[in-house]
Amino acid sequence: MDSRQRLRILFLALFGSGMVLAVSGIFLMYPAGLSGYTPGSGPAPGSDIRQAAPLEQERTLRIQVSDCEDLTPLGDVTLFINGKAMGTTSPEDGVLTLPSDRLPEQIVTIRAVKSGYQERILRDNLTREGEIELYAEPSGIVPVTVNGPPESRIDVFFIPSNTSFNSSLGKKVTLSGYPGGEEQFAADVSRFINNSFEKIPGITSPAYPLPADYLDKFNFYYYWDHETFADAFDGCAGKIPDTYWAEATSADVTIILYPTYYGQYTGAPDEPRGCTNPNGLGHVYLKIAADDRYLAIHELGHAVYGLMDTYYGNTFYAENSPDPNVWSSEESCRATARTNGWNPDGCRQIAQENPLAYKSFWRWDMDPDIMHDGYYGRFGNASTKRIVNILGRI
Amino acid sequence: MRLIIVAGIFLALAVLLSPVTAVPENPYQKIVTITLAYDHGVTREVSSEIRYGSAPSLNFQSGTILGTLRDNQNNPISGFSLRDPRIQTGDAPLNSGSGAGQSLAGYTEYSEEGVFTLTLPYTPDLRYVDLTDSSSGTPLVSIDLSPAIREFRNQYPEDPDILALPVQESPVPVPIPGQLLLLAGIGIISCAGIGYYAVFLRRRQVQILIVDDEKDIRELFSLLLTQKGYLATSAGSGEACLALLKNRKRQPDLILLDIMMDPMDGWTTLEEIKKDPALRKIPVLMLTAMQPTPADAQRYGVCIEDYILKPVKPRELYSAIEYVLMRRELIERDIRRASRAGYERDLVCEYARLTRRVEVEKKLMGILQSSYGTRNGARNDVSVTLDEIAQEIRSREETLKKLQSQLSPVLTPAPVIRT
Repeated sequence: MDSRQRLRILFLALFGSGMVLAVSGIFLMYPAGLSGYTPGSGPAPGSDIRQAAPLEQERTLRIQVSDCEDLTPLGDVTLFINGKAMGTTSPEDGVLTLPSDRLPEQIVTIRAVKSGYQERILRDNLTREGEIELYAEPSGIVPVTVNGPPESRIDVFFIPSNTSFNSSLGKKVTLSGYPGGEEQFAADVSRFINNSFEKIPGITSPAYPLPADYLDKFNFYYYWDHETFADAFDGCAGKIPDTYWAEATSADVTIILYPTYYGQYTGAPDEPRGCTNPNGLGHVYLKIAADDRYLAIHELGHAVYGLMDTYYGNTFYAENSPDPNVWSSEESCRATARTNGWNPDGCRQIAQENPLAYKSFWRWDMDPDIMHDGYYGRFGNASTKRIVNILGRI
Repeated sequence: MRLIIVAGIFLALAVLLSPVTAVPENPYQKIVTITLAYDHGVTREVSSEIRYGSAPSLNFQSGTILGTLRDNQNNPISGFSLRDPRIQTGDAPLNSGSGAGQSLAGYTEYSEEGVFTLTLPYTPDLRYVDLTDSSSGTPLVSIDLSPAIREFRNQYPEDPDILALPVQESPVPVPIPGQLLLLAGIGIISCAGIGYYAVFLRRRQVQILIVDDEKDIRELFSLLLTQKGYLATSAGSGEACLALLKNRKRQPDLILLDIMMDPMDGWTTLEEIKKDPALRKIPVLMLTAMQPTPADAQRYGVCIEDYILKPVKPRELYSAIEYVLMRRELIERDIRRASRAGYERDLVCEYARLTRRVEVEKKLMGILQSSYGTRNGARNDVSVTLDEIAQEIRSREETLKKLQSQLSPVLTPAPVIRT
């Protein structure tokens, strides 16, 4: 085989491999085949788009936002195109009209934002000319008390549960919703705040005064959308639907309020009345009965301030530094007491009286300690110092 | 009175300078939502997303897991702390009754596997999030937010925070593999096509070197050849010709060589060309106003491709050049065919060499016979030499016929010999 023949074969081989690569590339680019594109396919039925005939003189995009329930036009809705604020809708007709020279070459997203409504983001079938109608859904989040921006406050959200527990029968009770509806839930939330958050300053140690603006450090909201309920008795702390988390992004603590803990209690320990699930950052939640005003403060000690139980039981113990209310050794407890000017002899091992039994953890707060007794008592020096520490971070 | 006025001014200033407590509207607030799974001590990222929204406070919790937010240089921006997501702590009533007097039993739910979520404030400098177990110092997971940032940028390319990102942060558009393959394929096909054209299809412009000591003749021939589409170069002597050939990268396709030159004549120049292996294959067309002698014909017939007598008409010159070039091309083609058909290359080369030599010698013979007469007259040295040449031609023709019959299946029919 002469050199020219070898060259010819080389060129043919190159040509062949190029063809294989190119054809493979085409198949990868159009996996469904080139016929997958259907010319003239318009927006899907029921979409938000209504393509109008282009205007002769000036081409415009007209966006109208309405309430999805009563279809009334919504004014003061801020509209963003590709993330850039384009203006707000008119209070008269809920419309914002944009000339095409203000629009980007390609519209990827249209986002509508209005207080009291869920954020509405349109991603598909977008156009630079014609009309777009957006239907905004009222937000499920109802502000109760808002004292400042979410990032500078402890945002506490309440969500209703449509389940409870009958301790006489020893079984979970599923209800058709929250008894009394939103009105009752809103009242229960207010009462809960009054009986727990607002009561805390009165039962803390005067040795560590809470900030004067203690209550201003909180924002309170509740979530209500008629259909979405938490299940307080699915696992220890219950379960909360994803639709809630999608809206309540700033929640520092979420409280599942369930209607009541039915029945009288006898026999062995039963389903927990209150429980906290740490579950990450922004997803901390606890469950508590709406009418359990005493245990509520104990549970807030766990969920909001990270306090440990100081009673003897099947609970989780750890030295919750900084400013612990439970220590993993007597030395550590006494050292803290000395540092803070408390009597080191106040350190005592977590114990059960009858039969006598001990945990390998120590506590200092004097009885009645609400983290020990649950239904009554006060926050002692150690617990209060930790509460003040947490509040000081906000 | 003065005191009241001063107090009033202070009060007014205090009101004016007091911090604004209204909630500022910040439409560009963004959050990062990271879903993580833990499974028997291993923590891994499930998904990460950047979206609009308000974030919870970073400093609210204190726990055993430490989180660090880092920029694209891996420098820490801020940190946070988490409680162990595996542990849920509950309180169950221990005895009947409610309120004071009722005691609690603990309830702990510990999961070895599950998911938890981090909702963090997004800032344009945020790139990585690391989680570490503070009790052991063990890194749990490191999350690179680049894909989430890219996705957010695709959805909201004109968001002020995205526009504020440094230029080098712009994601390089990565062509999908299909586009890359298609481009590579087209590139390779193009290269193969261009190469094939250049090697096999493109007709190169034929270069002809004119060697003559008369400037007018060189210019005339150059003009004639250029008009015909050839690329003409010239040398004014045999030495100049040799020097030119030795210093050129591309050798000429043909040499038109004058015989009568001083100090190095055409025959000597021809000898020097044929001595050099790099130049030997260049066909040489001899050009002279003088008749060749029988001795010249016998000595140099093997070396030349043709012999042209001056004055020459343009048509004859073109015809001679085209014939020589065509013959070379045919010979090359025959060699390739014969090689493919399995004949020995030497056999084909011998056939080609003999074909050319017989043709040239026959032509020289014709010229000599017309100059020195036929062999009918008295026998002298010239006639003896002519007889010898004729004898040699006949002998070569015999050999050529044998070779022709051997190679007949692959040989191109002989071109029409010019008259």
